[in-house]
Amino acid sequence: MQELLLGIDICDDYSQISYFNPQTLEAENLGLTEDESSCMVPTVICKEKGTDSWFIGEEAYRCALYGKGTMVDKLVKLAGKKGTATIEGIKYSADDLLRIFIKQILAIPVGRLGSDKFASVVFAFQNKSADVMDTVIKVTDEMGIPRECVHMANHAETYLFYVISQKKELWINQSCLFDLSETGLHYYELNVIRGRKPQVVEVNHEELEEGFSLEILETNAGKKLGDTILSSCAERLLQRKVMTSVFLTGKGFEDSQWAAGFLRFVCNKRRAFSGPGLFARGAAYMAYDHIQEETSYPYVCLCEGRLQSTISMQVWHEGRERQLVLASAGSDWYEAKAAASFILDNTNVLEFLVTPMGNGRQSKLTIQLDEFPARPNKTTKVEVIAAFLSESKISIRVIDRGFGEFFPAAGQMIRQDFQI
Amino acid sequence: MSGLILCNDTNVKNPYPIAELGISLHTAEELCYYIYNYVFLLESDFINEPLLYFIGTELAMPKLEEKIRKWIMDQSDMAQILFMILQDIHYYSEAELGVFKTQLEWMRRANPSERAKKKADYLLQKRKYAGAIHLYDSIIGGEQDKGMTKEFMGALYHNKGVAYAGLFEAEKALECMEKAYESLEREEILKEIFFLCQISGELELPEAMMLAVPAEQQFKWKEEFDTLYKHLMYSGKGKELEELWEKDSIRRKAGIQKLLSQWKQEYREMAKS
Repeated sequence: MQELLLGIDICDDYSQISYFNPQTLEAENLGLTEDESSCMVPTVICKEKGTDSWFIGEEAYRCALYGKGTMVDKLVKLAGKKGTATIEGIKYSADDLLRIFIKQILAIPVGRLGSDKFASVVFAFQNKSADVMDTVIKVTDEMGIPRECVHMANHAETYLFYVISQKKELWINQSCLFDLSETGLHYYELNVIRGRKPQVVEVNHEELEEGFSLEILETNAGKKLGDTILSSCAERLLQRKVMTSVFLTGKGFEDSQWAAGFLRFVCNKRRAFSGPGLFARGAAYMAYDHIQEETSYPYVCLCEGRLQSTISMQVWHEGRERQLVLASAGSDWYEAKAAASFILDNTNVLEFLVTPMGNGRQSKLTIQLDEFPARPNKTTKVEVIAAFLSESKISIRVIDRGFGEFFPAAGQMIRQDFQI
Repeated sequence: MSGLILCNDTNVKNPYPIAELGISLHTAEELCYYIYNYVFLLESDFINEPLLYFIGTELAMPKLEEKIRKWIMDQSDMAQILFMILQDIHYYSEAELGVFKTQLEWMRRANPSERAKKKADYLLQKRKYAGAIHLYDSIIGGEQDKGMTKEFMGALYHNKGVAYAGLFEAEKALECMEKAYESLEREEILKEIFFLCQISGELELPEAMMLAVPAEQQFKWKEEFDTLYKHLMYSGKGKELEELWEKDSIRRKAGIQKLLSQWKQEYREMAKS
């Protein structure tokens, strides 16, 4: 039975599924049914009146349209603000609704690909919100998908992985992406920073103020206006840049005929690609990479959602002084966790070195351990647990472990959060 | 070397028991600490199969286990092997290992009685009084070392007396202290005898002593004893007991029962040989 390697992009308007095909070594989009031309599933949920049946996507719209049920949309935003929705007098938390939605969307590849073995699933969101990600983890736990098989990514990361999975000639210099959807117009720019080992690939993301409602594209005048807006954005953003490739994605570019002027500009001396599901496909490439013993992408990937600095400690190990890396620059903050135990040798302070990836200066974070019981030298063992609350905030817990039965632990713990 | 020593967090399923201390070892660092600080407690069979299994399997250090086995095969003495274990685990710095080496040297040079006394002194320090008395007796009555000095014998009797005092066996303690004074003739032993008589309340100060110490000195000792006694009444265990009397009858009763069982347990530990 084929093991599923999935990328699932969940946005407030549409969600998309992609799977990694081990035969072709390509990520491919997956629709609701084989006949379904579009792989975009509207992120809406509808409960059928008087029954316990829930529908998602087009079916949910249909159910609501015929007055058979109550529909809820913008599920991600609702979960992010811990909102609720009342359906038939029952209050549902956004978590509950997202849970039902995710379960149903995961059922699509199970049905289409005939396998319920999830080898690796990467969920992509516009931004990584801890609340939403925690909900996803809970749902996948409930479904029996092992925790280590579930990963999270944001659009910048999935774009980065999508592009670096393409031929190198497409991103040898710079590459960019325009994502036009109902939620806005987003611009991503990928730069390859040379002269560093490992090579650094960086993605900068900007939500453009010029974003517009896709409804204006329903009239000719609106289409023209949309084209003008995009063209001026492209001219501003791409001028004097050696952009090797331009990617277009999102509902707005599902049919890009309306943006003739914009297309003419971006295609001039550049290779342009338009198509849906780019983020989901990037996520599927990530899913495949997660199951590899050694990554196929030997780069430091810097973008929002990834750590910009390496956090390390100076320690003694086997009689030698060495640097212990707790989290590396370029790691996903949500997954970057570390734990280590140390014996304090003539010190009562823990120092953490923060080394930025760029040219920034190294800085130090310190935690005083004066609160811990006084013991003879080398008879206090501490456990350090580091986790990230965001890409720029680290939370460090230090637990007194005593020294075996010679000096039992008092069970004290110090927690400090630092902005990095 | 100072800073942080990174530990290998191996999950030990079966900690290594140390009967003398009534504890178990869970990590390589604790094993080093035990060897370093309690080397005089280690018997010649310390490096045995269970220890090798603990190092190789529980601590997941098969290379060290193999190395020890090889050294045993090569007829290395225990001191060399202990030193090698400490070096291999890297818990102690070079300077600390130097101190340890000096200690091993002392042990190598020391005669059996001196080594046994060191062990007994350790048990005394850890309030394992019965065990200490047993060892002191074996040294005093031992045949292996007839050439013990007067000083050494005095120290043995003195420490044995302290151990008996710890077990509240005042008469036996007094007997040992008197013998210690006969050998050492130190004034502080007289003071200890004076204090012992004060604590017991039943013992009479030996006549010879009463004559040897001027009344003025005895008066000063009495004052010092009273101050110390008062201090002990209102600190530590005395304070703990005092606080119980301030509680209501139900809590007081429960507290006393708990305290008594705790003291009994402590006494049993002291009296266990």
